[in-house]
Amino acid sequence: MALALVTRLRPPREAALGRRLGAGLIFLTGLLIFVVLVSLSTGPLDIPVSHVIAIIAEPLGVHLADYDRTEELVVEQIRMPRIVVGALVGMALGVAGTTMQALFRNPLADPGTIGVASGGAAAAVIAIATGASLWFFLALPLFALAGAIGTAFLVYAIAIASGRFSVATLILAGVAVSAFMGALISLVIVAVPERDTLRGILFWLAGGLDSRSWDHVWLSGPLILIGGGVIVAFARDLNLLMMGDDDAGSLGVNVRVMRPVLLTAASVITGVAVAVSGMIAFVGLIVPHMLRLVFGPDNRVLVPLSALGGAVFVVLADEIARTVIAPAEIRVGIVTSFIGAPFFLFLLLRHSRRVNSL
Amino acid sequence: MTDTVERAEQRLEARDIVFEIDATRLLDRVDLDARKGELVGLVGPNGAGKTTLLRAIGGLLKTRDGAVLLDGEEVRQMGTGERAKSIAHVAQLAPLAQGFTALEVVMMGRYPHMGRVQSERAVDREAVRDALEIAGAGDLADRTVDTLSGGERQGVFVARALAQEPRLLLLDEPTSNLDINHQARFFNIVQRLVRDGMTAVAAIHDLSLAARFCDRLVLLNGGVVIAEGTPAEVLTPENIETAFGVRAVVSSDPGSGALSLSVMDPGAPAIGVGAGTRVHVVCGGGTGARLMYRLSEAGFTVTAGPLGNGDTDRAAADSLGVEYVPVQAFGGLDDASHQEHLRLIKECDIAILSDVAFGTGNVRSLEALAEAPRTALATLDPFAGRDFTDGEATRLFERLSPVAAWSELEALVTGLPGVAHGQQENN
Amino acid sequence: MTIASNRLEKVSLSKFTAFATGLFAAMFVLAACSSDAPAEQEAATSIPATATPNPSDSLTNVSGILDPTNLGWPREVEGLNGRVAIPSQPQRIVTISLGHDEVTYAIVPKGRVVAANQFTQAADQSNVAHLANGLPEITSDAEVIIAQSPDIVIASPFTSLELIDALERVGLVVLQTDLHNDPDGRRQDIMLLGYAYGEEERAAEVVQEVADREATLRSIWESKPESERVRVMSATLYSDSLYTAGAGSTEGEIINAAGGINVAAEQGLEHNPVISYESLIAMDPEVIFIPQPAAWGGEDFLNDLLSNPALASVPAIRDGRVFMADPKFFTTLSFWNLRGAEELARDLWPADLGDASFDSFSFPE
Repeated sequence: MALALVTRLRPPREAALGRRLGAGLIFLTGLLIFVVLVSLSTGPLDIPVSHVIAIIAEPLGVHLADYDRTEELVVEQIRMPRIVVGALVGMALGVAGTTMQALFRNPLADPGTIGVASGGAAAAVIAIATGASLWFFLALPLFALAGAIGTAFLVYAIAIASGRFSVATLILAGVAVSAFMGALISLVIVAVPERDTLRGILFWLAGGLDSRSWDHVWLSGPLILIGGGVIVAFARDLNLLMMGDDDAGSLGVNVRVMRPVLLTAASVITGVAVAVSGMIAFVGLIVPHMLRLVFGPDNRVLVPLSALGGAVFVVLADEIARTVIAPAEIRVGIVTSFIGAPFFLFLLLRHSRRVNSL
Repeated sequence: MTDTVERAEQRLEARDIVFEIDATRLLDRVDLDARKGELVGLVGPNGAGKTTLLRAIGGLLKTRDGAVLLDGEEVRQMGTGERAKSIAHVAQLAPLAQGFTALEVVMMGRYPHMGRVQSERAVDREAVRDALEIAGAGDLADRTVDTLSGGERQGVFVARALAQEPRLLLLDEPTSNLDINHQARFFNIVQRLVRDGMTAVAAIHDLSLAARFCDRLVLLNGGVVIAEGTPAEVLTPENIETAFGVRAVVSSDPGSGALSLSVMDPGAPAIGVGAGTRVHVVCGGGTGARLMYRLSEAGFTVTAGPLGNGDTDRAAADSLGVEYVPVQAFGGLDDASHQEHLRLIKECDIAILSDVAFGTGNVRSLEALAEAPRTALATLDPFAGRDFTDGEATRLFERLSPVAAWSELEALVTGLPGVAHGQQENN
Repeated sequence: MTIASNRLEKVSLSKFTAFATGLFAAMFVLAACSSDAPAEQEAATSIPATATPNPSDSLTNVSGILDPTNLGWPREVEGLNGRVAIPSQPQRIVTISLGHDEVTYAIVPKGRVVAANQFTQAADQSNVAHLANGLPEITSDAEVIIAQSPDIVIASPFTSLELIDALERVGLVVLQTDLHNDPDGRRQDIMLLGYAYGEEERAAEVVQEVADREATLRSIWESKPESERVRVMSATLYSDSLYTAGAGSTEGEIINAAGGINVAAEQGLEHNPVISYESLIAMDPEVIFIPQPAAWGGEDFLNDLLSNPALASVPAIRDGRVFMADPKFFTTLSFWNLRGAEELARDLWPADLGDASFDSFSFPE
């Protein structure tokens, strides 16, 4: 090939992709394990860390310490499912945020950009207001999931209705549909007379992980892992889509297929997250940004790390939500916004040149 | 261009390409061929369909009709991965690339050659490094692309295309962000790649550049091919006027024999304001070429003073159809020529003196200039520096009484940066 | 009129409804779960008690009665909305909250209440539904209230300032008063309304009746040693959030009146905070009651509590002492909460109260 004829002037340059990914995975996995262990060990009941570790080790056939039955049940049935759901939701929102930012080539995109979150919230609020959420215990999350995914498809259908896809149309359609869903939520709140129901709706909108059970893990886990896996597998195509449709097309991406696939995967995992936790704000926006500052913009690195980073962020935020005014709790969505908004502004000011160019 | 058997191989055949958006036909039955080892230039005015044709050839558009064959294989039938290994496309506007380093961007050119989850192999790194060097972007490897200048960024995306190791390279205005020496350097690189067996099709708006570096040109206008062939066959003043709606000056460089073009600025204001006005230009040695183009373009009837054979200004005057006084180079001004000059000067409405230098051979031009109804100076250089006549020229010069304000004429001429300063703009 | 059609009507009424409800919603968030009496502290401190030293008079020591010696008309009271002059004895009374309606019906003959909201008329939520049924229904729309030409409108702390302002602007006498859930606060609520309605004597009777029943209830547990006192928790589950009732909450005062130990208050919780199931375990209640309507998931929540393996060791659940509580006694905000305390006391002290039944409170002729 022609290139071989050209004299090499420079020494081999280490691409370091694998090294960056490896370092990030090790660091964030370690951090996640640490945060999860701390979280498993804190709560109204005083359960020593050694017992928590013993409780985790026991099913693996390792007996480390004696603990009582209540401790075991509390760790296994109350703390663990909540933390696992938190981690899954964080993974989903982190990955979906990274995906949306790449797909829309817009640093301000997040999982809410195409109306997924508000659609899920509107469906959930309707379910609460009509009493449908009481049909059976997973009725509320299933309503939210249907609302979220339905909204994503509606917005995408609007964006391609003209025959030609455009990112701008997609974002604008998302804004319009989100506004509509917001109005729907307001209407439902007005129409609901019962004070206690209203309380349920408002707190649900803030996003929270109260009383999550293993059922919520089984409901959300498989879809989040599958959706996240799809995005990880196509992270390279995401890199190319960031360069624009022509560049992506000429470098081997079937844009017509890949964009809907990636959008669907991101919408489904966001919808699932909204379904089991309400709308936890800022995770999908700041986690990718933080990681990008450290690990660069390559989605092959960023997508897997966003999953771990999102999990760490949500589990940590929930730990704060559970302990800051213990034994009462605040909603985790309030904590993520309280941490997320100022932190995001800090990043914005400190790295304004870089963020501008993103 | 000697056609060897190998180079005669037809690599790209685009036939009957039709592309429409909302019933507007952007490409109408366009044919384009390119052989192995050939650089084909796509020229034509803005909106002619150059970019669209490149995208159609690259398989990035769904054409309404027609076929694109690469080495006999239908491009649209290729898988996207297969196509990405065969055809590389460098868009006119390089993406911002959002925080990626140049190295990472160029590595994207290797994606088609790698497995989906495979990480870079040594061969990929080598190809990327080579591509960066070839494109002159070796120093930029670790810079984030969004911190680069437009030209540097374009180099990075060219390197990415090279890293794809394509058989066909599609370039859309690849040098529009480069300065002159980098433009030449870039096309030298492409010529080298082409000589080594690649085929390139480049949309180029600069006709001189296209003429100088391309083996063949295709002139598009309104989505239709209006001429096709060697640069000399395609870039005739007639073709250029048809396509661009302006007159052009085509000359061949006496040194290299390459075609040189001066197309009048198609965006020029006030074409025709000078109609009916005769302007005489006293120039020589290339000091008046731009002035004459500009004045002709504005619609003035332009005449020129004595111009020796081989003088650049004379070539310009020939191209423009400007009447002048032909003299022998270094031969001095004989009486007949002087009378002829006087006639032209007396007929004009205004005579303009350029930054031409005066020696004993042409000092009589200044004498003649004194007979002009009005005189103006398109000059900034101190006259003394151009006087090689021991003061006679200066004495004559001082007798001139140039109009204080030459109003519209000055506006027209100075509207073109550098002209009033007598600077040369050349290719 | 059915609930469903009320909803439609509410939606179609006016922006005002939306605004008032939005404000109401915002209060929920701002008050951080305090659904019951967020303004009680301010109200108690900002209104000075009367200086007239006449302890035998039932009108003294009532916040808001400016001159207990003035028993003629006009008379002046101080509400949360400032000083309000009442020109003559009100004959057409409208209140905006269920709690005020329950107090009002205890003091005045039912004919003097001319309209009531949907909660007051709902039998599962109101203790005066049988008296209010069939009255014109008011909403938070000012026009609907004005249309009833009331002599006096009693507003609650939850009533929006805009609504009060609108009513005052058309010349209505509007008195916004607080509602309390502690014994002395309740006494003052009853006396203040009694004075405003010109029914001081009847109000004093009601105060006495309530005080007597409080004393009766207290006598059952007062003598019992601390060790015998029962640890009680109030729990509800709305949209997967577990709420309890701490100090200062209606349910908390009910627990106090019934002689239980409010385990949430013991943990320093106030009002109605969200807690985790683990906190429920940590608080170790011997009795749990659920003041949540079955129709809004109360029954399901009860079943969840009883079937959740992680909670099996909680004494209340282990011993089957988890009860559904009638919301009309437990979540209303009036002296009727004492009926809730009586019901709870029967669960707490079976040996003393057994199958005792309790009477309704009296109503005037």
